[in-house]
Amino acid sequence: MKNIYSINNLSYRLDSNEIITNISCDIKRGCISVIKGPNGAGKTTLLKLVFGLIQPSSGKIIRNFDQNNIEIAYIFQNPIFLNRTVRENLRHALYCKDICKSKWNSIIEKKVNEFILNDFLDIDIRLLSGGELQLVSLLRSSLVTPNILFYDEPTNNLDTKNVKLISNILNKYLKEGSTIIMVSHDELLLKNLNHQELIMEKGRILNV
Amino acid sequence: MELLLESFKNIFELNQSYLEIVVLSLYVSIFATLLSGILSIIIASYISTTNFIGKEMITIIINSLMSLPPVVVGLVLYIIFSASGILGFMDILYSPAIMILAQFIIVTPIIMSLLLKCFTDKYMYLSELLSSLNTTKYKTRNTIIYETRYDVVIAFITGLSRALSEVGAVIIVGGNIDNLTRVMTTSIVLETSRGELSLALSLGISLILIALVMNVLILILKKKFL
Repeated sequence: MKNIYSINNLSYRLDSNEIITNISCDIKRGCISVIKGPNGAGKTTLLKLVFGLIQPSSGKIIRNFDQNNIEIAYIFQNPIFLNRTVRENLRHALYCKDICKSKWNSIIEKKVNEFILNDFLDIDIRLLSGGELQLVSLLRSSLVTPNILFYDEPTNNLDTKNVKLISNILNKYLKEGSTIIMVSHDELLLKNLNHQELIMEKGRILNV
Repeated sequence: MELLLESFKNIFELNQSYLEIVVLSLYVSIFATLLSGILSIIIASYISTTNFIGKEMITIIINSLMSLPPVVVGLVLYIIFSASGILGFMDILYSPAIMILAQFIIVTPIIMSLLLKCFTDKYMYLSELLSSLNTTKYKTRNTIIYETRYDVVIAFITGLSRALSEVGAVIIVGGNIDNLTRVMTTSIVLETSRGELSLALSLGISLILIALVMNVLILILKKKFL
């Protein structure tokens, strides 16, 4: 199946406000799909709906994969962490993902080297800057390489060097066969990524 | 002043009857609080992380039960467990067991309500993260409980303080029997009515000292482990 998600007549209402209005589109497997649009267009809501964090008011999302045998990760625009050290947050993610405890340290060491975050491992998460939190958030979701990665504004607060680092990591995932669905306006990031664009405005997709 | 000195003398002399009363008080209240705390953690973590019909109603009931009058609890237990009551055959009236049960009933809504509030707040903060990690309900609850461990300790201490200071229910179901069901609070009532003010005062001071020690312990725990 070429499409990993098929979205049919999807709508989402919050109280009396319609945030997403009758959206239909397909998300291709093994590609990067970028949702773009002005503030308040419903980009993050669409991302959360497709992931399953919130449920649609009407319409259907067909998932063309076996949910039990697939690793799906979601990275938030404002990453949420436990009030512990970076290492403890990473260990908690591995605990949640049912990874054998004996493998935790080796997985963390390997991934931390990849993200060049070795110096941050034993620092309290509350002491990190916004950009550093974004990197740790990506690192946390990458502990087990995701088959599908949902990414909301990945380069928020990041400098040019780290935008390039994230671009390289996303390209690496793409080569490994991952599907990436993200919200982003960062041209520096997007110019290095082969992607399809979904342009949103007022809860609708304009370019389907 | 003489009365106060005599009270402290009673405490430091650690005479047999004084010690028995303090030990029984601590035994009954700690046991009741532990049972209540374990049950409250299980129920509150379930309610706070699950959506079901009637959730708000259950929360309202738990919160309302915090103001359950201890004497009413004592009276109801007395009716149920007295010789002619439906559970009279158990023969636990005027024993520490029924005092534990009475304190358990009084303390549970308090601990559960406090835990429900902190678990719900933490779950609201972490729910999206935990969903994004595709974790199970069991691990979600474990995370919530661990992340609120300091609040859990505070809820336990609050419950224990309430249990230790309780008098209405335990005096009805325990009967304030010497060497068997006499605890600090019931003893204070008796000694005051008998005019033995120094012993009553030493037990009162002990209650305050226990509360003080518990709070110091919380502070040390918070700094070292939490």
